[in-house]
Amino acid sequence: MRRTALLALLLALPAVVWAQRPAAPAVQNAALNKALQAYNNLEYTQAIAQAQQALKEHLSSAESARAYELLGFAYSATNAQDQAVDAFKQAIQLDPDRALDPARVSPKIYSLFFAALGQVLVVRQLKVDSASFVGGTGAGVPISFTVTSPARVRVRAVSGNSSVLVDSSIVTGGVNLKWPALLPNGNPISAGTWTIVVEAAAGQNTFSASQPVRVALGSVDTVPHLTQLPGYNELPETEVPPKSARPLGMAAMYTGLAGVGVLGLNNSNLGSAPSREILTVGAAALIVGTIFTMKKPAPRPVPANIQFNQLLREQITRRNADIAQQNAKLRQQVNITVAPLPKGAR
Amino acid sequence: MNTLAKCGLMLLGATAAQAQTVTIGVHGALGDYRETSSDLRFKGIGGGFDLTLSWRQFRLDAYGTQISYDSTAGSSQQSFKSKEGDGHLGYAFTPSLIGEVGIVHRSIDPQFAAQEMTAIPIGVRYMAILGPGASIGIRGDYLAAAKFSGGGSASLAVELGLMFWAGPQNGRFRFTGDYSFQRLDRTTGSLKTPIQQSLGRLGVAVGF
Repeated sequence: MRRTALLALLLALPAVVWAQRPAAPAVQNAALNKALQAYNNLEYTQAIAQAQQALKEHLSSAESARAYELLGFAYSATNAQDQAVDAFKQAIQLDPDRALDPARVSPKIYSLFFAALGQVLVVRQLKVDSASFVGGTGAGVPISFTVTSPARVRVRAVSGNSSVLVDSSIVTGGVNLKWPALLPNGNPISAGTWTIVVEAAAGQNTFSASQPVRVALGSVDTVPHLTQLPGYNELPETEVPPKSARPLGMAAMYTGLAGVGVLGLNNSNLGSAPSREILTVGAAALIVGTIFTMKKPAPRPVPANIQFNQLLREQITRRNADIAQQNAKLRQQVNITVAPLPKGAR
Repeated sequence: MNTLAKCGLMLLGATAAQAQTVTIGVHGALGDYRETSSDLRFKGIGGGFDLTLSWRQFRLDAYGTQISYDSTAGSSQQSFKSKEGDGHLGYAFTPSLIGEVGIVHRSIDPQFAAQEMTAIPIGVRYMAILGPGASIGIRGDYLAAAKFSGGGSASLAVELGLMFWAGPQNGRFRFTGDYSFQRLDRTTGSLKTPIQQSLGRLGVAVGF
């Protein structure tokens, strides 16, 4: 009794999951709607019949894929594994990017779906990332996709009559490429709409997926010239020295020396030493010394700072010369910006 | 005269172009002159002009000063005028130390009121900077080959000087001061007839 209940729950799980599929577009076809309803009511035989009926009618590609997927689910529930795998294969062929969440479907269904994936050749989940880079520097646009079975895969970028081979190799599983967006001669590709085409071929089986991208070309930003080095500022080349009594001291010393000299050289036979002249000139010298002592000192050069600034300017000049050379190269380069477009856009 | 003045100005202009500094100034002067004994003592005032030229390490200082000397109270000697011209050509061994040689000539009017004198000063001066545009210095010279209008010779003939100038840093205008003290131990035969002069000058100068 308990095993029967468990089996019923397990079989009911896909129905719950089906009902919770996110963003599933509304179904227009009546037969397909009935099939979905029957499946949700665990009436798998009825669901299979309605789905097959719907497939005989005119369905859109998405509705067809959904119908086949429903068939796969229903066949899985009825243990018709081969039919389930075939239905999933049809669904995958119609919608290669169709995927099941292993956390939300039963392992049985997921394994059948996975088996179907291995039996068809499709290129899934083709993704071209947005990228902006300088052409010819080794950078490129990341391209990723999955090939469901071993195949010769050629990846090309196509625009009008132009076709640039991006990669050609035998691969299976996830593939990651980098497209430098360059022509074989090394020049950047032209601006405009390009299509990344992934073609997989294994024997008679072939499959192709594509993704349009918009390519824009622009000039490469140049490096601005330096006006100063980061972290280094020019130092003041002059400084105002502190006030000093040196001028007055010097005037007093020289005047004193002269006065002592006069006293020493004076011929005593001619009377006392003459004082008027030396006192007059000496007093004037002392006044000058006093004025220069009280006067705000004039700025004086600071040799260490001057040398520092000179070295700084030389360094900036050298760096700017390097930047000029670098900019000359940058002006010859092209900035390539690639952005994926919605599929089908031109 | 006019031509002479023009030539003088042209020469000055040429000199200014070549020289690092040329200054021309005028000054007032105070003098004290003594001769033979303390009774023969004169004081005077006057004025004159001065010129300085600087070129590389060379420097020329020239003064022309006229002083009217009067006998000091207590002496009854005749007043006289002294015209003194002196020039010193210096060479700067260092910015501070300058070696110099020159000529000093003093003429007296009336002629025999005092001793006329000519000598060749040889000595050094030492300069120091008081600040931007201001310097002070002291000098000492031996007055070689001193000649006197009344004859005789000087066993000791020395001159001591003090000088300064100050002004704006550009050197265009200067306030100048100069002091010189001369001692000449003159003898005529066995007779001691010493001469001593103290001369102070204060003036202004214009630089070119």
